[in-house]
Amino acid sequence: MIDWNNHKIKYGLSLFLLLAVILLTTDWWRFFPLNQKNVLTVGVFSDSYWNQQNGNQHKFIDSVIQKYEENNPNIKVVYEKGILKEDYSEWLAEQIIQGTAPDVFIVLPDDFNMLSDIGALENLDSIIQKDEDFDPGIFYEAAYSGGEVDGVRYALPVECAPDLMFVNRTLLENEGIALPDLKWTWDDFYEICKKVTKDTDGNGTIDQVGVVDYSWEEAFASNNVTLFNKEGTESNFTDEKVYNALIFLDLLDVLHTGNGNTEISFERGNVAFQPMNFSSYRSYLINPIHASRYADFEWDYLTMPAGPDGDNASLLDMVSVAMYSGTPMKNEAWDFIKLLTCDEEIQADIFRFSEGISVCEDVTEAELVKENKIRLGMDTAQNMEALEYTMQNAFFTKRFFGFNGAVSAVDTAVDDILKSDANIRMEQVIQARSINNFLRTIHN
Amino acid sequence: MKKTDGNNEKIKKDYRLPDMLINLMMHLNFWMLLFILFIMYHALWGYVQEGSALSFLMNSRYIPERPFESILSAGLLYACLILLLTTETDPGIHFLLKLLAETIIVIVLSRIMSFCYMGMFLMIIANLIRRPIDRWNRNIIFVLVGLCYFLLESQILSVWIPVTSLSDYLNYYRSDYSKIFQGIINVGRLMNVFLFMCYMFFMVRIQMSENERILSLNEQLRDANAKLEEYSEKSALMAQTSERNRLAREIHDTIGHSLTGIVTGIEACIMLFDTNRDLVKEQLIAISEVAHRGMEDVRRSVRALKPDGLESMPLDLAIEQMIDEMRRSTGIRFHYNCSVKLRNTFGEDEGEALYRTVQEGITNSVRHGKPEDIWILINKIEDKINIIIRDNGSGCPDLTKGFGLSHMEERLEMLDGKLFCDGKNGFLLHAEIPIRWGTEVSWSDDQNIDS
Repeated sequence: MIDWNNHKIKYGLSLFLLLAVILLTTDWWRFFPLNQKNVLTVGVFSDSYWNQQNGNQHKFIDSVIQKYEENNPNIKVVYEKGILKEDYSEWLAEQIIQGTAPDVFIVLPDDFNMLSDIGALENLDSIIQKDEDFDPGIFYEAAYSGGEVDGVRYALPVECAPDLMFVNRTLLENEGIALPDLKWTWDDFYEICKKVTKDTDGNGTIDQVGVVDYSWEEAFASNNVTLFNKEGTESNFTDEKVYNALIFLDLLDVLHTGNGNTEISFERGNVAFQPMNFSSYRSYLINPIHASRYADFEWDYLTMPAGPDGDNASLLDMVSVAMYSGTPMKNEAWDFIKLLTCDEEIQADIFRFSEGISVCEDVTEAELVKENKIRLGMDTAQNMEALEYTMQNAFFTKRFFGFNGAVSAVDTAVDDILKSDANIRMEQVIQARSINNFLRTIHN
Repeated sequence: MKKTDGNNEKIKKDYRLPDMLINLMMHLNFWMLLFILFIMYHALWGYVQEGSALSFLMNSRYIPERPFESILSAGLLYACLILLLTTETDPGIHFLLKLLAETIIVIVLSRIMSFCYMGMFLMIIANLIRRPIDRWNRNIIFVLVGLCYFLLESQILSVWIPVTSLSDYLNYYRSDYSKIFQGIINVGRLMNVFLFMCYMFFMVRIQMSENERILSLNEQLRDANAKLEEYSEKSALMAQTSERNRLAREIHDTIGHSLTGIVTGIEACIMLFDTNRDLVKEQLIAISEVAHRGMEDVRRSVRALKPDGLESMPLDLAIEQMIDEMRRSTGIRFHYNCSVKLRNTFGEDEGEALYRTVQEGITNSVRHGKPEDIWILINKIEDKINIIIRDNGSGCPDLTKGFGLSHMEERLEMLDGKLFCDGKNGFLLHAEIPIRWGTEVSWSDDQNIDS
């Protein structure tokens, strides 16, 4: 029988309980060689980020895991199959809530800010400082800086794709217009659009236009507009740069009387320019069925035209990878992240299994040279130059909580302004108020 | 010893109610912990089932603790807290360490509960009040612990310690349920505060009654002190008187005895002088011995007031020598019969009383009855020593106790003994002395220590 009044027994027992709690809540026990193989869990989605169904995503991650396990034979890497991209954010949130978050996981741009905000992402700065093999210079700068919040690095890029301006070379040739150079401006852009917008068959309706799908997002990006502040609590919608972009959009809008006409599209060959994500281009390139649709005209890609206040900048879309802040296997997780993002072989696999491009400059250039040989008659040197220049000026928009809602709000606002005949500056003030109201509601 | 035990029992009885209240608080806090954890993790489970984990994370902006680990840790930590709270420590470093551990455990537990319930701090404070710490430390500790409590209760800490607020969990439930849950938590908190206040009330009452008790004890002590002083004065007087009595008795016992022997011996010499000179000479030698002894007795009495016979030899030999001397000096026939082992049996006072009784009895008989035979019988009946001294002299039909007899009586009464006299047929003296059998050794030990 235990004497419950004995102090020593009580102290001993309480110390034992405290130790049990400490062992339970920390993961020290993982360092004891109780289980022969440590398990590293990885969170990935099974379809393509670029919305192109290629069925290759598992192949890509499997090849990464295979290489990782070859390098680290005492670690087993597991991941849950069959999570779609649209369910991925919810799945990740559930894992985090239940305390079963994967050690390493892919981060979608929409979730990045939220995840770093709640503290789910490990600060990688100290690990990077300690790792002498790691060289941030191999990444495209725009892609690399996308993994930072307030100067703290939480993620590394895996694959990316910039927006580019696609151009119908045949159409321009027919109109006797020279292909614009890489540093073309809105003025050049507008001049060409004005020239090509016409009624070719004389039936009274315009059947050839300058550009489709050029929206405020592209215009704002090219005119160096920072639309929201960092926390997403306020918009700069009344900015002068916004005004200039809106004026330009209004001008284009006046030309585009044929917009909405199903007969007019880039694929049909009666549109001179269309902004398109590079992943879509690659998808067309790889897929022969897609490629056949562009068979009767020659086309290429260009940089985005620069606005008066900006560069030839375009939006960059990308997928990153991050480490869970609660992971007990930081070193193993870091090795995995490094393999995924820096290994040339793995990064080159992106060109085989995905539609995005590698975030490593050298890998992308080498692979694109190979790929461009598929398409005959393409000006490889110029294309490479265009992509290089685009990537230099591309930027990745940080997406705060409620970013998509805010984008829709701006969408509506720009639509309203372009449709109405009222003074644009006045309208800007009015719309800015409603956008700011919206931002306030999502942050409360 | 017995008295302090009684006090402890009384104190224990006083503290029964506060102890019960602390017990109640422990139970209440346990159920509150369980209830809040249930609400929190049931809501989390619900969010996952519902597929709205993402929106929960977006609203709460913090990652909740891992469910399994935190529920288990909460249970273990609470058990630990109870163990620590029920362990009594002396003031000192142990006490401070214990207090620190308790405080940290409560903060961690409160954090697990999203800082929505801080009642456990009151248990620590309640426990503190019962501990005997010196006033200065106590004040500091109270201020610190109180500060912690207010920091937690005011939820200021949640600014620095990121934690998912309870309302984010409650959002999962329908609004009426979430109100009921919030209500239950509030009632629990109030109950806890109420129990704490009751506890404080009883503690203050006990403290007050304790103060009163101490005051009354002080008064009693003062009275007792005064009485003691009075008593000591009296006892000094009494000691004087008894010393005087003792001196008188000693003089009577020693000189009286010797003189009686001498007088009787000389009377005998006078009678024998004409008939048998040899015998007279012998008699005179004996008388001179008695006189010498008497002189020595007096000297010794003056010095130590103690008879030499008893001082220099064991009791049995001393009595035999006394009887022999008496027989030789008076010519009376003595019949001595003792059925008790006298040597090393009695305490010093008992031995002396016995010796003096025999001595006085013989002296009495020789002096007043002029007997031819004296019978001396010492035996033991039950726990009492009986001394019977009988003679066949003239006796004393109307007995009045002289100085010798009343002295003897006094001496015996000091030992709870009794004295019977009968002077009708010769003289019969019967003394009864109750003896502390078997304790005389420890008694004499005590005596040694005292002297």
